[in-house]
Amino acid sequence: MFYLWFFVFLKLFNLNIQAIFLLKPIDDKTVLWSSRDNQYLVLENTTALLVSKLSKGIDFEDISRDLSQELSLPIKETADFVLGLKKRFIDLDPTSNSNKKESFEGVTIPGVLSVEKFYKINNLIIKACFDSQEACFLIHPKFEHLEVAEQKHEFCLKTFTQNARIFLAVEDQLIESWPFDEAHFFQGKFSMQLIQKIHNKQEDKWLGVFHASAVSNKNSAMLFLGDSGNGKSTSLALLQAHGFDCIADDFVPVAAQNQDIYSFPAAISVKKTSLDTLLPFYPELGDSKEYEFKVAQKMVRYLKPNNNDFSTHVPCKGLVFIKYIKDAPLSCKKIDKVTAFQKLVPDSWLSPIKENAAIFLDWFDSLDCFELTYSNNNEMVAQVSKLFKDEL
Amino acid sequence: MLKNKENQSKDITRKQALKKMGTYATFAALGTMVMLNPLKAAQPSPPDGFSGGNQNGARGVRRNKNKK
Repeated sequence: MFYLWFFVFLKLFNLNIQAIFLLKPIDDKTVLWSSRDNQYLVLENTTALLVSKLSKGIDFEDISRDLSQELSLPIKETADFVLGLKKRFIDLDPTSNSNKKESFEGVTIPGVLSVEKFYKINNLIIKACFDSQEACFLIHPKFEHLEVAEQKHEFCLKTFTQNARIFLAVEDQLIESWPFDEAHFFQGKFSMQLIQKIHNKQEDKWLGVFHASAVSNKNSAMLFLGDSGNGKSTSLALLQAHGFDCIADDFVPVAAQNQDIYSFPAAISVKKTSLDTLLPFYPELGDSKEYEFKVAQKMVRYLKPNNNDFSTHVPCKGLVFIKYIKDAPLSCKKIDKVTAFQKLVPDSWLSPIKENAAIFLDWFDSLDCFELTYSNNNEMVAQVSKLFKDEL
Repeated sequence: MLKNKENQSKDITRKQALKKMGTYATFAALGTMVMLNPLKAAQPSPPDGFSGGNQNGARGVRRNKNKK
């Protein structure tokens, strides 16, 4: 009887461990995802195998002995190493990552707010209310092209400040609040609420949201990634002037169910430094409002995307890490996936749900990754056309 | 004499030394791992300051009349 219970305990313990992480070979490494902190680790394959063995409940002394024989090293050294892995990956407290739900005790949602905007996205009318012009400024510039006159709306988003925090409420239900210096998280949540309504998918149905520009040839899309100032949005604007579709700029949602890239209706942000390049294609930019972002120290105008169907979604063909370098010759090459993975993950929101993390790893593994360096816009457009036609 | 023998037994050839170095390099590499933390929440760029509604929302906005 004792052995039966011991066996059941081991089984349960094992299942519990295996629920904590995922392992996925990518190129010559293995990526380990931990559900405890939604963290991805790039490991050597041997190390990943050791973690896998530990997770199956194989005794660490046996694993250490095998490693010692394999590498002809003293067992003391391999045992120390394996014990370190066990502590790092196995001996975890699975409850330590429990996210506490925010308490909204004492917070009241104001009835009427001073600034009201109405936006039309496809056939959906959205009302957005703000308690100040400054709060409105966090959202409105990117969606001004969708503004319509006051009318019957499908749902209402309220933004207000209380107790030195900025609050978001949807349909008079408090969603979340942030300190003022985390207003960018508020902007992200507002955008998440929009994609949930536009595409009828709750947050758990999204694989991730990527800090990228998405360009489509109607059949598939490429994601353009890179640090700020590398020309993501400018390339997107140039490509849409040459027959491609803008799917999303800056905020690119990917669904878990089909791993398609979904449309996000925000305008394309155009920095002052890109105006000369884009004015020949978009003369309207010359007369458009210019917004000054003091903290980021830049002047930005907004360009309406050419895609009016914001229900669009297309599969992803590949990732392009783009880099504009003055006077640089055109260069486009495939890059290894581990390098691409290390660039992609820290700049993306990725679903913390295990099933979604597994889908993300498979999806990423299926994509081709490129690095494109350019200075000549025509060469860049021609090169992207080639990538869409698999003519690298 | 005995001490000399002990010293001799600890000596290894250059080839053995290189092999040992290679083994330790492989072993050290096993401990190399890159930790990657995704963003805690979806967010656009660039984040700009927010003072809680005390500033005029039309910060720096101006209508351009064909001016760059």
